[in-house]
Amino acid sequence: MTAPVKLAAGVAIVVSVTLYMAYVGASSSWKYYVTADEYTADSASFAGKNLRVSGKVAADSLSVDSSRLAAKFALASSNGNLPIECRCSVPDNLAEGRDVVVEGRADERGVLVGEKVLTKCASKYQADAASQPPRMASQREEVR
Amino acid sequence: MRILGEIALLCAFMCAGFACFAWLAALRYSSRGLLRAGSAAAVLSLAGISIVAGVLAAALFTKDFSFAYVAQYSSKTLPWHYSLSAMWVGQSGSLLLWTCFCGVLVLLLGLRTSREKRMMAADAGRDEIWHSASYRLRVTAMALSMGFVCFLAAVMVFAADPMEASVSAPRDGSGLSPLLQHPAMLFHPPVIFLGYALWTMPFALSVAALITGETGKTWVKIARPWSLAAWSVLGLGILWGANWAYEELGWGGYWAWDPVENGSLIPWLTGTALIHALMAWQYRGTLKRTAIALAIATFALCNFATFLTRSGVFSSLHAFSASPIGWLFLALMTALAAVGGSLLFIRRDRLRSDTRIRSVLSRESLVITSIVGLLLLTAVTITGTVSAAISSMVLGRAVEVGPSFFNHALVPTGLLLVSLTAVTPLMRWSRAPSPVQSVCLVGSATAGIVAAAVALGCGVNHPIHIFLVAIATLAATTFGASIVLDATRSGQKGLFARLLSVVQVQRTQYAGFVMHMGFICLAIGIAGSSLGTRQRDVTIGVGDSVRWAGYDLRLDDVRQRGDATKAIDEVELSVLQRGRTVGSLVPAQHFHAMSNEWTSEVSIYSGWSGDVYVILRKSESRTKVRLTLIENPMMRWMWGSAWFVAAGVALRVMPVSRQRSRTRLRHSSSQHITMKEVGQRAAAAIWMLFVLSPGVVYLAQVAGTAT
Repeated sequence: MTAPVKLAAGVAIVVSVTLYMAYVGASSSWKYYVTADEYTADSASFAGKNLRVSGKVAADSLSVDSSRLAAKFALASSNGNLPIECRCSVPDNLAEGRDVVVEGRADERGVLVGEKVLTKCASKYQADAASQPPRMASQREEVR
Repeated sequence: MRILGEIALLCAFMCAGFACFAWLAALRYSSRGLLRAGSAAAVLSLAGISIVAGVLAAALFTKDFSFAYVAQYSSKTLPWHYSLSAMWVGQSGSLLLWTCFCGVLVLLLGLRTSREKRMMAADAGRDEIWHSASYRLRVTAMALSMGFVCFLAAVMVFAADPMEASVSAPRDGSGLSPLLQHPAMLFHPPVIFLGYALWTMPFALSVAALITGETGKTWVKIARPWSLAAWSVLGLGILWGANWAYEELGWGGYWAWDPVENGSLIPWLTGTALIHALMAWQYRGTLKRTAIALAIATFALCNFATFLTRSGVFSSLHAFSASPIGWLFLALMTALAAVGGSLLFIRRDRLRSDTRIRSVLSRESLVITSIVGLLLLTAVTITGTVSAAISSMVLGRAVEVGPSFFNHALVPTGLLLVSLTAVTPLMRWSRAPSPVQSVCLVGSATAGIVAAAVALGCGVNHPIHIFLVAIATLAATTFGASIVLDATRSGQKGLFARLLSVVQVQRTQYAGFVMHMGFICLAIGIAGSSLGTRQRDVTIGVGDSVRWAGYDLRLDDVRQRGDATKAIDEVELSVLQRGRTVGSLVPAQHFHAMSNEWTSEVSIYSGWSGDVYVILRKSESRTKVRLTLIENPMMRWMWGSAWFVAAGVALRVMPVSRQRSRTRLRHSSSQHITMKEVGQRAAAAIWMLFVLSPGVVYLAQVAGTAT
């Protein structure tokens, strides 16, 4: 067996193992990624499936447990708000009007039970000023 | 001022386009006049871009909200140094920075070598200069790079104008996101964009080689330093970004496989493969096509990264806008791939390998295997990143893979790459290791096995941790053995003179080995922090202590304070080890009145065995708080990898006197050594193992503590 053939055999093994591992990782972690509008338009087809739902926290819907390990809110949608119940660590900057991503599954009541809530980072290359959080005129005295 | 900026931007765009065509025409018609005109246009273009940057910087510092960019990313209360970082936080600002870097680098590429200057000065050399491979390559590459500067300037002129006026000048700006008000943001984005700009040069040189047919060693000698610079700068930028995420985002991690992170990682992976292919080309005349293809692909993937973050197609935790700019960069990437691929096909005969692979245990084989590993990682990262967009197009529903997909693929390829890295110092080009190298390899492998056994005895029980302890030991011993073997072959007398001679004569090789040690440190940091991390929520009162990660954390104070822009809740904790205070932690929560949001300011106590990472969750009362405690083992090893890379780069660029660099090793091959010499060298290698053994035991101990 010549050196290039041996090398090709070794490379083939490396490629096979990596692809197999990637397949294992994909099969255990894939989720449907939908917006709140897409979910509420066809919620029945997503029943029992792993989901990542993105949307904006609806006004007057947020209530956070004092331990910050649970929260209830709704994601705004044109088909009616999507209720969310999270039993996980709640991000500090979770607020009404903020863009979030919720990972979890829908239960039989149609409530999305979140295992993880991620707030979107209002960061670089954001083109429109309208998506910035609303400005608060007050300073810290009013906060207190 | 704004009008001046607009005019300067337009001039920069037109001059860049003219410089590109003038330089190409100068080469075609051997015209010195066109060459000078092109150079003048390039300088004018850079001057124009500098004026635009100056006007924007002045507007940011003076808070001139008549500029839309300033109104969007700055505010009256924003400190001056974050006004500087606001310069590259927005879309048009970051494009401006990228253009600036590219413009400067094009002129640097144009700096003539002393030989070329002599040729230009001599009348006899007037025609000869047009036939110089170096000259033809660099002028063509400059023209192509200036073409890219023209593209970036066109994007700014037509789609992302940094000089755009506010619709109605507001009294105050929207301000910079609090998360971006971090010292790392002063450096991370510019370093990333400098990395992208540097990758323009190997790409331009590759296409220049394909156009001119200059595919000899001159090409690789010019392209390799640019590639190494781009690789190290982009790597540093990525690590800086990870450090920012770790310290600022407050979730305890540093990498989430988010599209914006993957976007910069992908070209870095192909770039790493490229610098290895270039090495094989320079020393053995192999992997020429691979090197050219990788140089084109790496630059194309830098454009793909821009598409990822600006198209709005990909789901990300970063709130990116849907912008037509991203599609322009995708179109450019597609065009580059098509043109580059076609030119490569046309020139394929000129890029045949000079030699064949004779042994599977040669360095060429290692280089090829590592390139395959890196390209596999690239393919996996691209697949995972675009999975949602592609599935959405094909299946009608977006399906996204999680971090598990990336991590699973990273394990076999990562372990393969660190294993190859560890044995490299004792491998030779074209041939299997010499007898003495084989002895040292066996000795190093034995040391690795012993270290793994010690680690197991110290309580390390994860297979990957044990493997990495063995590999780190193997790497350190092969590195040491390689120095000893080379030192014994040098013609110098005395240990210091011999070591100095080795470093001077083979500094390029040892610079690479030092960078490899950095890669092993990175692997230790990633494996330690990924597999050994622990988290716990505690409620604690003033004066109480909690035991965590081998330390006692005592709550000393709970306080509230504030300044003009934010209100701050913070606590002070003492870090005690065996009753002695070794440090303090001050986690806090900041309320930013401007953006009406809370952010966590984490506090980290860092040691060689790991980090104690504390997040303040809530002040229960004036004397009681809830904290999240995270233990992240081996983080210092990960950040420390940057120092190894920096040391490697310093060694690589270190000036060496011409006379000394001519010194050659007494024997270039180890094949004709006597048995006595074999014995001496084996003894030297074993001595090195013993010297390094305390380090190995220490490593095992800290790994044990971490686990």
